Amino acid sequence: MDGVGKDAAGVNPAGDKAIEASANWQGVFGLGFRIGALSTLTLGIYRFWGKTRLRRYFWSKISVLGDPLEYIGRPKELFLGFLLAMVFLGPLFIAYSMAQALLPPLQAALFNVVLAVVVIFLSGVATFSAYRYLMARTLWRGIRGGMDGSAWRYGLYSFGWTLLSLLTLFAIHPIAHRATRRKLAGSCRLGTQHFALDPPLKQLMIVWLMAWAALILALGLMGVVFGDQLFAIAGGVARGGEGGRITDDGKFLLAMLPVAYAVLIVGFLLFSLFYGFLRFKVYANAFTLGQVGVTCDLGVARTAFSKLGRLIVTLVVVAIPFHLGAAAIIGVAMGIGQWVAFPLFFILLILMIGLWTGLSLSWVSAPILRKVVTSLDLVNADDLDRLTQGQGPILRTGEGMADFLDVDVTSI
Amino acid sequence: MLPPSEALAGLPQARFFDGRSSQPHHVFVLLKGKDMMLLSDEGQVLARWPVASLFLLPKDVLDQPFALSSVQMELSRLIALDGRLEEAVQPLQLPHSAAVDRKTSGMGWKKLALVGCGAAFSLLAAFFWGVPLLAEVIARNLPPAWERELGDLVSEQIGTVFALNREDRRPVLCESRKGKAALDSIMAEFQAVLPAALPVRLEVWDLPVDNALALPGGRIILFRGMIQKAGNVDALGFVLAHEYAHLVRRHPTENALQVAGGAAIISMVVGDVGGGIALGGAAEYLARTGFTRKAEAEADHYALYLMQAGGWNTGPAADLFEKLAANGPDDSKWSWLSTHPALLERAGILREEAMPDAKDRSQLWHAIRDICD
Repeated sequence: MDGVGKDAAGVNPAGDKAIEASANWQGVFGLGFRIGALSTLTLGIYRFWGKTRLRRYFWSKISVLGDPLEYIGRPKELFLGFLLAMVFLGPLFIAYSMAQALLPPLQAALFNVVLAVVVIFLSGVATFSAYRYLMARTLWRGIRGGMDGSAWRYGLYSFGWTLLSLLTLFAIHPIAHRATRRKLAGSCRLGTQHFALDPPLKQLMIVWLMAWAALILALGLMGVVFGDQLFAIAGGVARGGEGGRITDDGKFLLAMLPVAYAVLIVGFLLFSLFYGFLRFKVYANAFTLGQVGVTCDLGVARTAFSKLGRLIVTLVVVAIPFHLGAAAIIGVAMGIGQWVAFPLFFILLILMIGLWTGLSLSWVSAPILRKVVTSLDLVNADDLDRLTQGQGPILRTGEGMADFLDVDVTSI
Repeated sequence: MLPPSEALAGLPQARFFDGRSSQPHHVFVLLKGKDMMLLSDEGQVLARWPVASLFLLPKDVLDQPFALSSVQMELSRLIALDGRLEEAVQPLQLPHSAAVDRKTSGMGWKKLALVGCGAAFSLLAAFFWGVPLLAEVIARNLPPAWERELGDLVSEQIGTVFALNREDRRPVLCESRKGKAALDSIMAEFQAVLPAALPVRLEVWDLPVDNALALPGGRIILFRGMIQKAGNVDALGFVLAHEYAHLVRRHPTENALQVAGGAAIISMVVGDVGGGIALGGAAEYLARTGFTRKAEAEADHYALYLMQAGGWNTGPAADLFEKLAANGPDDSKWSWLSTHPALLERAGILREEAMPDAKDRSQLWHAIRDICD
């Protein structure tokens, strides 16, 4: 923003939206391409620098009362956090991988259960730590965000809810998610003012349970109608036909499995997008910072379809040149050998990952984020002028554990 | 002496956040001597910053054409409302925030590069030294029962893959009494020269595959196709000696551990611990080619020793490799991707070491050749 359209003290005239996203998102393609290509070229090391540049970009394009958010994190903090995580978690991961290659099936299964417990707990710790880092590196009008509380305690809390969710076959997932997000939001603050989240559950629970029941019903029906055949197929694949004889119905079912798999993937993707945006809307409407409230009028279904469509188009646009390029390189290089084929293939990979990153950011992430951000508005926004700077330790080692465990806290 | 209110209008204007509250201030910026003063509309001094403490904020951080701050109040923000502020401070050649951060955080490029090099060295040491050493120690000390169970499991999986068209998904074993006795006598000869830690179990599978495998737990699987391809007892002797050498060196178990550990390190570095679409598989393949090729070269070396100690003729084995090379693609062009040393290279070594006065074992061949009949 350049200050135009504001009064002398910078307060937005009545009628403007309190939260805005800048219009020019096209510039993100070049940035995304560069980040994707350089990350590949450096075998992943550039990702810390890329992540920082992207956050700077996206944060600065979101403004509240005309003033943009500011990301002040440094790439070296992420890099050092990653190195620290490698030192502490790396040996565990190597030991796990080696044990997997070695242990007999029963011991391997027991080992996996123990490992799952550790990973679920650590994922909670990593999520809290990553949010704490992000909050501490986010400024608005020079006021720093922050987070109070213990990451280890949150890890335990989150682990308890995940366990309950697992025991109920995820039927209570919305309750568990709400509980953990309330805890996270309640720990976050901007300056000295804490956030709060108290979303209603009814709508989310109805949508979730309908999908959950439909899945259980579909699986149950399949079990009743095709149970013998599925057992025969599963037994046949695993133990050399000991599960029973496969009839013509079974063969038809076997042939239909890829179709069912594709339908399941697309259905799952669409539902998870729809549910994700719905949950965002419900949570956003229940999000407060002191007396300041948030409203959200996001078109959930439209946004979910739009994102799915954009994802599919991006995938096709990248997959076609990649396959053509790879086929051409393999065809030409078979007679020439590795000295030509490898560099060519690596260049193709760099270009394609660059293209994928650039397109998915500019054609999927940016427009969807803009749609989501512009659906938000504030109530009692004037109270935001009264925030004061908070105190708290500033982490210097980024979000290494989250990076190590592939926990992404910046996706919606 | 501060300028009168009417003179303020001539000064650069900016939006100021003092880093203590979120209240925005409209200020006039006055550069006076070694200080920058921020004046309110009424001419009051809201902040006085030494010029030496000022630094510029990158354009992409606030999406603003020009913004600056002071190390005295690190979180304060001064955002230009017109081009005059930039013009006014241009002669001062202010540093950028990144340079200030490097000074204040004590982590400059040199230190970061040092940490990065240390990390890279540690990872390379873990990949090329730590994981192989650990794999060797574990493989040597693994309970034999575990290793046999692992070998049985792998054998069962291989059997399922190779015998998919059979009702019971199990390969047919070739077990003619004379054939087995002949193969056992060859293995006994090798064991007398180089004893293995676990008893060796050799099976011949009735499948047209030109290969032989050594599995954990002292197991060797020889395919009928390999016997036919070898065509004589000396060539087959080298194949068996090679697989037996793998067992002596505990390569099957050691390699499984090395590949898993090495792939884990590659996955960690590229940030793909969870297993992405392609990177996880690529990491495992890269680790496999590196470690396996080394083990194959070692097995060739030991096999050659066994052949020489027993007075075997290595010439036919060289012929076999040349035949395999002629029938397949030129693997010397793809040695990075290959798990074995190039065939012609192996043939050359065997040819060089061939002994003129080798023992005649042709009587064993008839029994082995017909083992599946």
